[in-house]
Amino acid sequence: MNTFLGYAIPGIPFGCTYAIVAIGLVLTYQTTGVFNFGFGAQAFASAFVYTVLVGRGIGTGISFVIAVLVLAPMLGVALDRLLFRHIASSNTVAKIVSSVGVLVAIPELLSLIFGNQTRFAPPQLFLNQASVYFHLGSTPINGLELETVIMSVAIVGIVIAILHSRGIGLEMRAAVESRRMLELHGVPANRVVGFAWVLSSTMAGLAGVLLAPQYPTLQANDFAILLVAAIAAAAVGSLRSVPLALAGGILLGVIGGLGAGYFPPSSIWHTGLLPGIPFLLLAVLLVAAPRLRNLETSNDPLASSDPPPPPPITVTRAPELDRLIKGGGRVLAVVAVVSVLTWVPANWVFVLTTGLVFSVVFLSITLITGMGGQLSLCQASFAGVGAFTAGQLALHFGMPVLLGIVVGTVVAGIIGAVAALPALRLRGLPLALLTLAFALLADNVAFPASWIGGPLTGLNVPRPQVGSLSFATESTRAFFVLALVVLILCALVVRFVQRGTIGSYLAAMRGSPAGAAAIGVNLNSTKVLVFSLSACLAGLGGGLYASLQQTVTPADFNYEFSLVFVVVVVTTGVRTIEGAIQAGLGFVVVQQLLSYLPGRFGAGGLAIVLFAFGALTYASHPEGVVEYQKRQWTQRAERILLRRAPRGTPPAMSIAGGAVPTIHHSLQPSARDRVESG
Amino acid sequence: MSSEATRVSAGSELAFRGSRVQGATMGEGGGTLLSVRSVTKTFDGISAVQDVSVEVGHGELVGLVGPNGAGKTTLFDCISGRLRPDRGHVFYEGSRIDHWPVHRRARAGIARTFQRMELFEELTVREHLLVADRAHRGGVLGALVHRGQQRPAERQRVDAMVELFGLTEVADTLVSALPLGTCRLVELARAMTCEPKLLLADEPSSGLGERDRDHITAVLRDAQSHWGMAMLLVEHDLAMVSQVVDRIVVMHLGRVIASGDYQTVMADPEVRRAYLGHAA
Ligand SMILES: Nc1ncnc2c1ncn2[C@@H]1O[C@H](COP(=O)(O)OP(=O)(O)OP(=O)(O)O)[C@@H](O)[C@H]1O
Ligand SMILES: [Mg+2]
Repeated sequence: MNTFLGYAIPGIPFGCTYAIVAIGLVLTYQTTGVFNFGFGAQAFASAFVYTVLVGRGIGTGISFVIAVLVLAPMLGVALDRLLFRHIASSNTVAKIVSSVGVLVAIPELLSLIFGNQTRFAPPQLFLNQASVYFHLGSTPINGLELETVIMSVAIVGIVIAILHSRGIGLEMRAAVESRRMLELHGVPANRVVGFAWVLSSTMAGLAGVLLAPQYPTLQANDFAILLVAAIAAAAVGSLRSVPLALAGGILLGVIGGLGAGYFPPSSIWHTGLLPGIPFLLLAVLLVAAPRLRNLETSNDPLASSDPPPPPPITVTRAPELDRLIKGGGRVLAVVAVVSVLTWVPANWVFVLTTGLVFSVVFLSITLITGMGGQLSLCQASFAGVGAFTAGQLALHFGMPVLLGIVVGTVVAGIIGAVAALPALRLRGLPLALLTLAFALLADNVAFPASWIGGPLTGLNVPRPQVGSLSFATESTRAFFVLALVVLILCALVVRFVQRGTIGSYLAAMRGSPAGAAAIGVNLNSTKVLVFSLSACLAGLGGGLYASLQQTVTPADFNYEFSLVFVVVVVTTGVRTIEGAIQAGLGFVVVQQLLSYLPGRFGAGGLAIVLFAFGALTYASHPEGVVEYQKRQWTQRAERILLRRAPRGTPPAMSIAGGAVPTIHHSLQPSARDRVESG
Repeated sequence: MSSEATRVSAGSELAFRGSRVQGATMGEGGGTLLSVRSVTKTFDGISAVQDVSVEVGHGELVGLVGPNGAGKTTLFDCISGRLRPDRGHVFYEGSRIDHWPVHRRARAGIARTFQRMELFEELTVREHLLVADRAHRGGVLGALVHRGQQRPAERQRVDAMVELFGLTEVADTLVSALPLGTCRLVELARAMTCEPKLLLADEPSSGLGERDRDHITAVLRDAQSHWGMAMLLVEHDLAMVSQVVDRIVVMHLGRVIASGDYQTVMADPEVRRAYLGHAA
């Protein structure tokens, strides 16, 4: 019993931090409908600022007040006012993308401001970490543990007291039941929502400051694990119940503690299973718990009163201009290719080749998100599967790398199909969460294994050699041509799918899965097919990337890249093949250009911040903000060049929800009103 | 409905009238097409459908009526495969289809419309019919290698449907831009494109004004006499039901409380109690 407690008790402080963030997630999700992935980053922000302040000799008390009681709520208010309030009625994908943008942007932004040198963990707040305060049974309780538990109990107590108070608490509880009902009753929803943001952001900040001293150095990655563990804890309560989220968090902490104690330190259980437990739990809950599965079809009686998503915009360009642009584009492409093959310096050829390879990976997002309408947050993991397969086959069996890449593509496709099976009944938020859990499982369980991810120093992957044709380092231009050919082939495949029958099935499923099934579309096999095809593309891109770089490590394909990829693609345009290619080239070109900037601005973080800000506009420009700007410019050009009024002007969209197109001949309620009789 | 759609409506009735598809199945020996046997479906302890049995013959028109929450839509979901019954079985053309997924039932000839419409927002009217025409025929692997271009036969079938339902003028409009009445027509046309032997129509006139209601009633009648499929019609508008169906089944609180021809059933005191809250 004493050993049991001895293992379980050290897990409790971790569990408390999970629980705090979990409660924050539940509060914001239920009151605002936004599932805020950004809490991971907000926790990191507070921990970061706390560390920086303490590092500059400011006392822990004042630093705590600034980081947790000032910065954290301000960040919450800012996010609410500037972003989430405006997208409250957007579709799920838009909301997720925006909060993922926050998650990606904040840590990068912080290291831009303060530099990204290694920071050692800050001291804890008021108790001494080293000294043992008392024993529970025979388990010593140190200051850090005691402090975390005390603070957690305090904040949870405050939250529960607030929730059970009459005024704002009652309104918040009502909002958890039915946000829409509350609005109907004339409660100023913005006040409740704003309060929920302040409260939950403060909790995230507190969790960050409490968690930071438990790791040797301060790293954003640990806070992403905090986030996903918190999501798993919230999932225990179906993202609805505050007490269950609390219990779930502590349970996870205790399981972690027990695992760490009972599994022999170097066993596969310890290194392989233990880090993956929160993600496994999340995955299992998502697949098995019906209430989580049906998050989107909530039992809110007023769910059908949500405004419809903005109508898709059909653009018609004047045919003359269309021909001009298409012709110009082709000429430009040819000029670019010829330039690369002749005079462009080798380092830029390498950059552009990397861009083409990224474009292949990004096409997988076009397929699954743009056409399939579902967000996958594990595309980098599929790329990793392709890369590691090619590398390991070359290393152990001397397989020619091109063949290895093909095998890697197939393996990724098979894993994609298998991964699609538990995802079949999920869509929207639960699906995004499941794919995030997959990505973290790959990072923490699969890729660290040396037979998959290679040795710590990296897995060497050769450049291809076909007969006397070499793609080695000296002949980067040859690799450019290879990448270009592969990209063109992939683009053709995607276009074939898009314009073909599968494409129309996907469009139908985006509109209405129930309707699609009722006309005979097999939803399951279509989903498996799209997942698998998309994983193939990612795997192919990953394999090419590995061969181009010649060394890869698991860090090249971790979950963060999956998030960044999504953020980049939705910024340039997720609906079109063109968008994916722009994303691939744009991502590397912007990074290369910024690398000429001095110091920390050249480190690459700025590019990610720029794209993340682009993703924040996804709700108002679902076609991609770059795509949107391009359309604006063509229309301007059309007006100037052709001296005529623009045709097919898109309906004016408000960020608050999107205008329903006005139909001149109709006095009837539009179909969008979805009137139900009775 | 809008003036445009009203003009359209006159056309569609003409298009149907008097024509009859060869080999239409109406009254085909009068055999049983669908047989629902003692189906029960419970949600969180509430029985939405309880021990319900219904039979529909080939080409037969059956009205399914009952107050709100009677379990009509739930029964439709059990027949079309959206829900699995907790108990009881569904037989269709002599086979037990309980374990069939929705798409397999659709391909076998069970089509439906939805009370809360389930249209494909990004597709035009014509694309709705085209995708339905393809989906109810082929599997996914076939679709993968299938080019987007329409085959002449497909085009012909889709054009014919567009015309029959009087949707020519809006054929290339996105459904998200259409008025409700037209949307209901599109959903019906989409269902009929699947060449059903059994149509499940869930409140096709709900939310519509009187003229649209009359129009959709006429279209339903005409479609049935044109193709001769069997139909289960859920409708709150009893006048409409009486114009279309051969007999009705009344549900209340998850159970069938009466069935038979319209007049007899409506005279039943229990039915009147269910509808009016007291014995009239
Ligand atoms: N998904 C669900 N979860 C929980 N309860 C449900 C669900 N669907 C239906 N119900 C309940 O089952 C009962 C029957 O509902 P159903 O929609 O089948 O009735 P209906 O006869 O179609 O009513 P209406 O005329 O209003 O359409 C109702 O009490 C309803 O609240
Ligand atoms: Mg109903």
